[in-house]
Amino acid sequence: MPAPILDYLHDLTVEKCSPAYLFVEKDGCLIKWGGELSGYGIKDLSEGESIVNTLFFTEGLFPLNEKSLFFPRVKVENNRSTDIHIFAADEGYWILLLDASAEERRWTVLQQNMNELSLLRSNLSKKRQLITSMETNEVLFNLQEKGERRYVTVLFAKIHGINAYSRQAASESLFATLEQHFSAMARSIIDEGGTLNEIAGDRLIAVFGLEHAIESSSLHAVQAALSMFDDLKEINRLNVQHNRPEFNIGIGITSGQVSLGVIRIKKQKIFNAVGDAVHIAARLEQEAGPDKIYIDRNTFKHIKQFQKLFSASTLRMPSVNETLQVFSCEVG
Amino acid sequence: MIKKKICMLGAFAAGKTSLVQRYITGIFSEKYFTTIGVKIDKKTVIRNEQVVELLLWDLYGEDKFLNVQASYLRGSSGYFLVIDGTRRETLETARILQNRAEEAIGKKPFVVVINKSDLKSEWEIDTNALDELLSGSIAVIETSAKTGQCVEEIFTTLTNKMMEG
Ligand SMILES: Nc1nc2c(ncn2[C@@H]2O[C@H](COP(=O)(O)OP(=O)(O)O)[C@@H](O)[C@H]2O)c(=O)[nH]1
Ligand SMILES: [Mg+2]
Repeated sequence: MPAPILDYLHDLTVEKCSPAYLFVEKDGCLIKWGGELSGYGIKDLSEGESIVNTLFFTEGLFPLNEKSLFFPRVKVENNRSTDIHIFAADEGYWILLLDASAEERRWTVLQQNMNELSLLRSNLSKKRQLITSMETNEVLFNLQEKGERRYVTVLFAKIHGINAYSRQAASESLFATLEQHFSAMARSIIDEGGTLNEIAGDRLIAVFGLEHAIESSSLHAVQAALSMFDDLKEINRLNVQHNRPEFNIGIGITSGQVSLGVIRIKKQKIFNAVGDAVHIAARLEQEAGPDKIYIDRNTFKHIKQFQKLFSASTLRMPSVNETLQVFSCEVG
Repeated sequence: MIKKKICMLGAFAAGKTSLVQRYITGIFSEKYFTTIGVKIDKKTVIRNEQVVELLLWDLYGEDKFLNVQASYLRGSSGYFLVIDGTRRETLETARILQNRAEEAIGKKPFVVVINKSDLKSEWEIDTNALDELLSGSIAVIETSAKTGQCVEEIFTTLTNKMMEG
């Protein structure tokens, strides 16, 4: 390396971190020292004295079992964040102190934000349990192990265009897109007290009414659906700004008695909902296509304030051998 | 003078810093400032007519992205596993940390602290139902750094045990 580069590197790594050092015998008795020790609040040193009294972070360390020890970002009394390196030499140990204040400032911003977000999320999911599989919850929403029938609202949502996108996009951007959309959708579901049951490919299934009263499950599901479309507008707006593709979603919602239960596969427990309502919700979502919400009569009955958004029509369902009355809403 | 190093271990925001500050200064703050790295505080106590200096290592909280480094634990005579009674997941974190501590420094006395007892109605943890692993502790104590409940007691309990061994 040419001298100017070495000098520059020296400045970068050494001058900026105010190094200070001590050299001690294997039992911790001080042999020599130097550098900017006073900057770390270390003074009144004398040769031969045990270091443990002055540098109390060395308590219990000597003799060292390992070749070296590193304590990142240690704050002692003087409150200066310090990186402490201790490493063995033939006759004893080197203790190297480096200023870590800049490093600490960087970490503070990151770590504080990350922790606050985690707390918020854990708070939310505490209120609105998010489940796809359960390892620990023995009894989920008071569900009996043997399963039971309950009146719930089922929501199917599909992100249209994902399949086509998956053929040409790098898997990294594909999954970033999926995560962006599904996390926004999951938030809407959780906010309305729903439970995210499953994500499969470009589809998501949620169940409402596992926790709260019967009629309101329809209302919460429809509100969640509407809020998903609100979020979608915002997401698309941002994505277009960044030259990323736009997507649409379509939603089907039904309410009715379904069988709820837990399936055990080895140690895993998977929540499952089975019944006409589930089957029909899936069908309605297909029928809806992009930018539409399709709901069944049971759901429609309980959403007084939103009824004017929907118009009635019929849908042939050969599989249950009937013609259903459905209600659709064009969004966007 | 006898010196004893003690580590505060636990998930982030469980109340490690608050417990140490309550013990040392008697003050509690609602505001949450995440601990970066480690802050070392000292407290001198008298035990059996002996002066003991406790060196309290208040470590940053363990989480998915940032694991507590084993090096910090070196030289500890004992440690606390701090659990947030209102967050069930912090129990799992305590278990992980207990394992890591034992790997790093062997069997040392530890006290399981279930903090935030002032919020008992929001607790997700049943102290009586704590499992085997945590029963390796010398005590399971419910505390509140906010009201001060049992804060002295956890330090006294651990100190007494460390002084025996
Ligand atoms: N209600 C209540 N809040 C507490 C208690 N202990 C800590 N806190 C709060 O919990 C948050 C995290 O505390 P902190 O001591 O920084 O946790 P640490 O990350 O484990 O050091 C802060 O907002 C504290 O005010 C307690 O006993 N009761
Ligand atoms: Mg802290």
